[in-house]
Amino acid sequence: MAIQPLGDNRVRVGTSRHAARSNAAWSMAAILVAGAILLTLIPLPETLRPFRPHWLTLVLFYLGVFSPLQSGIIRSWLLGIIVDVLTGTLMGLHALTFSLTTFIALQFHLQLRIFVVAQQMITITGLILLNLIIEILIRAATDNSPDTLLFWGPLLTTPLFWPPVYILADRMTRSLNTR
Amino acid sequence: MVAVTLLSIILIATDHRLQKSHQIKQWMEASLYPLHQLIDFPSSMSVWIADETTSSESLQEENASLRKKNLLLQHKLQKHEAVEAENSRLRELLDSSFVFGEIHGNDQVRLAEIISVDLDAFNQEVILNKGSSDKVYIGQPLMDATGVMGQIIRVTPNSSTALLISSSRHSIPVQNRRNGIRSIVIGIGQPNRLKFRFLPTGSDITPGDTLITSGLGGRFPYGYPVGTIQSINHPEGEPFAEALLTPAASIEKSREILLIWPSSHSEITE
Repeated sequence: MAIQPLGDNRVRVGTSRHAARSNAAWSMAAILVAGAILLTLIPLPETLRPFRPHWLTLVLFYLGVFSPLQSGIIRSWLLGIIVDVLTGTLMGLHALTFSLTTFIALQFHLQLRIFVVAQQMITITGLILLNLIIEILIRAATDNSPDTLLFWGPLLTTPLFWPPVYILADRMTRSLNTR
Repeated sequence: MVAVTLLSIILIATDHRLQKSHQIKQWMEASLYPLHQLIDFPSSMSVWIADETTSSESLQEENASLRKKNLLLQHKLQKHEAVEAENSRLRELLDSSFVFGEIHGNDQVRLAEIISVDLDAFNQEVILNKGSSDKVYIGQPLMDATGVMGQIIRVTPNSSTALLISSSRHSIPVQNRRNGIRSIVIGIGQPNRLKFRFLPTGSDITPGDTLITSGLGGRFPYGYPVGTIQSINHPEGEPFAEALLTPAASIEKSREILLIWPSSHSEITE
């Protein structure tokens, strides 16, 4: 059921240049993921905490759509396990939502790539809604349901941060590729 | 994707079942602790810089005010000791089998720091910089200067995770300081609100009453403040009333907390 990433099918001149380009793509993916983990853990004031955007979902969405060779369901799943340990959630919760995000991004990456940013923001809203529904179901099943509407806060904030993430990642890709 | 989903669900189920002793999770937590420390670095750095750059004048001022405070506390403590002695004498007279009162004076206390890392926003957990190498154990109570904060739920060699009393997974046996009515306080997932439940309608409780740990259950020692009653709600046709209370500890602000080794701990576990 997993889709084979199609990769960058533009001009390929020689293998060494191709290797350099894939190295650049890997380092970019690593930087994005590391940055997102830091942003996920950095302390916020109590009133802002529920509104923290799902940074890793944004990054995984970007990688799935624009850099599918660096993306992967299993990789996202393993990342999710690490994030579960880091944030103290039940093991497997983030693993499930992250791998689902990557699955959807990879499955539709050709369509999503030609979407304008506003359409991508709507897609991300849908993804976050799906993730939050999964999360609240799991929390309800494990007697840990949050009693507040603030739980849905990331639904509003995460899409707002898609344009900056997209622009930043896009610039990084370009500067790494031309080097 | 189907396989991964199934794997996740199995993992979630097992993790939920084995919540406490979980070797793999413990090991992963221990190995990822450096990352937590890295994120904590800026804030601990800023505390350090603030300490290093305070002028001697302000230090002297602070010292003077602390000395005054210390004097006041000493004075209070003397009174407290007298009252405690009187209390235990009266208990002996009554031949009471009530043992929790004696624990209070002999509890051992140590300072730990909360690592400033945000865990999940709705789990109400924090990470502390003391672990099993400092004899921290699962179920250990912790508090700040003003009241009970929570208990330890996971321990690694150099760090530990604590569940705060404000979590909806946490409940703590309490009693009213004024008249000794006992019940249970549970968290509702918000740092500044707790809920007092299973309160028979018509029981003598009013806003402003202070609730203290009752010592029942043997996990939290007797007599530490938990919170003050804010409002009481009698739902129609329900056998029990509910009350909201504000926690005594400043749960969202404290950075330094106290770990308590109740003197009865060894007796209870052995």
